Amino acid sequence: MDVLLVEDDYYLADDTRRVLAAAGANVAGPYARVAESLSRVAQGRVDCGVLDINLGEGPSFIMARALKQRDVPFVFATGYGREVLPDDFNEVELLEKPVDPRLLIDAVARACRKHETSEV
Amino acid sequence: MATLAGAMNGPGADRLSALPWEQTPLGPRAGWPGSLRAAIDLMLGAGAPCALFIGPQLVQMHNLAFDALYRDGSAATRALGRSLKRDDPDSSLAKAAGEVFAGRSILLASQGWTIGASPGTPAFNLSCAPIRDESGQVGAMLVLAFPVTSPARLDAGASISELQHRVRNLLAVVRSLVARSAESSDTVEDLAAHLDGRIAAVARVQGVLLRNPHAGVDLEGMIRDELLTQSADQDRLNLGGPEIVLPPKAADLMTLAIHELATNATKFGALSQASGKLDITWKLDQAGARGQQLELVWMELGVAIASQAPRRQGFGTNLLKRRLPYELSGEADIEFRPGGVVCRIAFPLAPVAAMGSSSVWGVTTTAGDDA
Repeated sequence: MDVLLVEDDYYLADDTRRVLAAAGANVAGPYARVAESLSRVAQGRVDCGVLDINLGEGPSFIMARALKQRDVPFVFATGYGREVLPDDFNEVELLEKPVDPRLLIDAVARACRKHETSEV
Repeated sequence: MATLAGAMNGPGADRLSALPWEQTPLGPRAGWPGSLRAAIDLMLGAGAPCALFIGPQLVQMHNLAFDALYRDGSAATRALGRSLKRDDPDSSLAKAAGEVFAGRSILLASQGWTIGASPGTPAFNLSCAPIRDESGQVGAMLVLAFPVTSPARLDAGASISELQHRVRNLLAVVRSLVARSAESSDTVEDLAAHLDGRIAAVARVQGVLLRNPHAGVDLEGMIRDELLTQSADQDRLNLGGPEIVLPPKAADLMTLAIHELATNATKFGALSQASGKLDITWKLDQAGARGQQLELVWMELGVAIASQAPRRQGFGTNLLKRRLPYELSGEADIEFRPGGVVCRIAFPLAPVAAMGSSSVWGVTTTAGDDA
């Protein structure tokens, strides 16, 4: 399973990469910048996304919208609370930093399952 | 004739003219005194958010700019022609009117003041001043609103989210620092010493950024602070370069990098031996499409051969070889040569917008934000 990872902090990105890889995911990224993440998504299908909301320039939902548009499930892993989420992401799971590795894997699995069910 | 005499001029005049004034304490427009009409024209024409509260009943009129103080346009429009005295007698604005009608001007700080505004509405300070009629009596209160300029207070809701985000992020980074320091420490004492130094360095840069979130961090000042915490002998230092202000992200990383280099120099390098000298220079290069690039060279001199290269890739090397390219698109070389360590760090000094403002470092960011 290919999981896109977008996180601008190197240490957190590297930690999350390890967690996802240990759970058997094939990690696309990590990417610190929107432009790189977008070009990766444009190149080929990913199965799920783990997205930080703030890549150093305040909250941004460009990547979330890009994944939504491509019908790719994703979760947020962020320092923000739900109140910053625009209404169209009400259904998306949000994990608060520091993220517990087990919760992250569970959330990714849940997002993928939910997506499969909704497609049937 | 009456319509012409009662005409209002300026942006937002139409919606005021349309109200049934004869049903308000002010009566039909034709009967309004010249002083009131002049005040209304002044209020409507003002570029800043401006309102009038007229007569003992504090009947409200405001210009289009004043709508920004309300949750939405319809709430702003509903307030027109209403009596503040009747609708909201306990509001700080109604209370201020008591003072103003006694002839005094007062300033209402934004705190605790809302007129039906939601927490996300930008905060305004209100300047309230008396307007006198033909007889010299105070006939109305003029309210001029100006936004609270401190960015942190501009939007109370957003700044709490922002603070929450920073605190959580910082905790996550500290947790990660612990894990990474553990990986590259041989003993518990070693780990404790490393962690103590690293967390202190992170705390120093956060302190500078918190005191002035939009100013960034002065490179030379930061380097001097880091060397000072190592009690480096000033006579052995040579620092030189143009004045550089590091954006927050670059400041975070560079502070930790300088901390690691300085710690290493204190333990094994130029700051550990009487003969050692430390030369730190930096410059800005125009690196074509990437814009300005900062290049810093850390050069230790006069170090006896005894000091060897670290046995393995440690925290500092990882910081420069991996984190620097990842976060700042930079690059670094570290050479352990006879005479001392030479480290070259380079990265594009791309502007990083601080929270809530788009071009703090004078250049706007590339990718447009979501619409």
